[in-house]
Amino acid sequence: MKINKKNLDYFLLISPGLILFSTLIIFPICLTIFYSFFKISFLTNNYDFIGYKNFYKILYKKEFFNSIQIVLVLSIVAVTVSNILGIIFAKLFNHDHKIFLILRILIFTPFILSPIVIGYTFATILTDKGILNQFLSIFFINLEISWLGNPTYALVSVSIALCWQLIAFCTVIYLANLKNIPRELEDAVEIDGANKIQKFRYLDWPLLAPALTINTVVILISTFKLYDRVLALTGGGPGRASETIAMLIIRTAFNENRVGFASSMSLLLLIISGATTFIALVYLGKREVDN
Amino acid sequence: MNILKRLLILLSIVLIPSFGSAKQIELDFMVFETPNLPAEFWDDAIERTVKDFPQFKINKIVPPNVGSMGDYLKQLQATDQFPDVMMSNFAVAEFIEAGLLLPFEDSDLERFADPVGLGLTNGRQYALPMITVVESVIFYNKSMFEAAGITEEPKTWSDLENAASNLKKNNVTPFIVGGAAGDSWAAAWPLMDLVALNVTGKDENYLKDLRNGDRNFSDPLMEDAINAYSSLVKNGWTNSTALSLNYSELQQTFLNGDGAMYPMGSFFAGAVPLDHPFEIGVFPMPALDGTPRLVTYTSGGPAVSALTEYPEEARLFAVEFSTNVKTNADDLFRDAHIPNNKLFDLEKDMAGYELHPLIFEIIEILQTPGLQHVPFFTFEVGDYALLPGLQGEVFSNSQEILSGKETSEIIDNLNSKLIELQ
Repeated sequence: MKINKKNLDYFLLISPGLILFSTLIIFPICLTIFYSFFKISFLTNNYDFIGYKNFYKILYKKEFFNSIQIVLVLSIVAVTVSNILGIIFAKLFNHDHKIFLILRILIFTPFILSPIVIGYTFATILTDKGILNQFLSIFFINLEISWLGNPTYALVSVSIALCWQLIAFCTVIYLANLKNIPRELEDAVEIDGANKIQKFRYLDWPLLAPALTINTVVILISTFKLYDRVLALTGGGPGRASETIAMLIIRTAFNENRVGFASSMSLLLLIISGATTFIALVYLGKREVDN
Repeated sequence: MNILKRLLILLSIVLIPSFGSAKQIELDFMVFETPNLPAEFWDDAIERTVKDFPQFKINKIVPPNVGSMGDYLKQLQATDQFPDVMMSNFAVAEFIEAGLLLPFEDSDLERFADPVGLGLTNGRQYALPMITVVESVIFYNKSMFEAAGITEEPKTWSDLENAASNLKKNNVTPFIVGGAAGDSWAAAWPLMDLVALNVTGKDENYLKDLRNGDRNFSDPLMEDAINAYSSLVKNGWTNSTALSLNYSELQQTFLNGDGAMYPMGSFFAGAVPLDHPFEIGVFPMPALDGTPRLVTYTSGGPAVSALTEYPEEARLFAVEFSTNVKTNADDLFRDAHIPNNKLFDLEKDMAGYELHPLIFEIIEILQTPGLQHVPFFTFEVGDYALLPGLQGEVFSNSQEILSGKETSEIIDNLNSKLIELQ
């Protein structure tokens, strides 16, 4: 590229962003790649080069595959539930009356809350004598479910807390997309005599494809790096029943002092989440073009 | 006023304060806060020490929760924020091995009744033996015992099982145990006692061999200890809420009268109000083979960072903080921590406090002649210390025991982690 004044101006304009991106994203990734070939303890600051050994060890680490399984389950639940409920709420609130404006603001509120706050809030709701079980007992439903103490229900509880926040995000994105559907297309569909289900199937659903892509990708990325909500809600327990990959990585690095091994898991997490996001983008992006 | 006079006044304003005041020494001090030892306790204790030694400026640091103190310290170390002084309420061994803690001099230990406490590493003490906690005690609800026809405190493991069985027949939950999320250490408490009483107390080489890789967790003594905890769950003698309670909720569950027995450290006595509606008693957890043993922890005082800018001053602060009799008295009153300070006089120094009778009972248990004192499992130091990361594994596997996992699975988990860490 020829360096002229115009190019130099462009470069100067993007340089603050570039510096920030390189410092906060590219440099840590490079450092993680570097660390993953070493045996490192931050306590002793010892760096021993061990080549691919860390990656080899992951193959035999049951906990890593357990965490992958947990994250996959959470991803599937979060993508499905948040998208379905997001579309339903968006359709319900897609009206111009003031009351719907208030409802739109309310539905977005969970998204602006800190994940730690959400974790602790749900921990209060879901304890054995918490609000949920007490509320159910008013209607003589004594389920006596230990939402946080039972390994199976602990994952259900994490899913609920996760979806609660993601539904808010999905609703807003779908609402924005619905607002962009041209009025003339809606009129045309109505003149053609389509009922509400047909209108959704043949008009809204295809045109909501960009929102579906954004929501799915954001949900996948959020779920793969899920840490704070789970930490506050179950701490990854009972045992390791709800331990996500991010929690396992932090535990390995700071509890077991194995920074190199944790870095190699981080790198694998980056590859897995990158590949999944890429596949989702390609598949859903193709659907957008087809439509 | 001429210019010379003005200059002299200005100079005197600038110079006099700097001649008059000593150099301020700023130390970062990590403490832990619990329901029994809230922020107010630490602030008062720090203020007391600083009052006598005004050269110190102390910045208090508190970890997110008491169980994660060690992990939090590692994060601080990784980001060059390792505190100068820290209460040693965590497994200190790995920090000593990493050269992050300074050893205390013999002169620093002169004020402590038992200067060795939990143990020495290469003949040196790295964490001041400020307090003694009796770890293997079981608190019990006297009226529930009476109602179930239990007239004597259990002395053997089979006595304990009989008592639990009678309580269960009387529709009472025999044991309150548990610890959710960040409080998995509380779920591990009975297991740590059982292992100390029945494994490390019986076979003094076990931990050394475990560390050297000569043995693993597939050991008959270890299996018995895990089985003993697991049997309480399998017999339906523990509360179903175990894994959804955090530490303060767990404590409150027993205080609410939702169960008859509560295996916890002696510090629980500090949480029992004097006017509590029902009477609470305490007895030592029996060993499986009936040998009189008691799990104790004499340590918990400040440790000093090897990276501190002020090693001498930090050691001075640590010693003064942990041997301040007023702080010792407050600690005993609030958290039933028995002071290990030679200068502390129970009668004289506790004159202003109304102590719960449980605290006297615990001191009596501690002083019972003929008891073999065993260090608390996972907190050992030196050659007896567990490999870094194993403590967390013991904690999370204790939650697995409470969720009904078989002993064989627990042992497999611990063995896999041991291989991974070696």
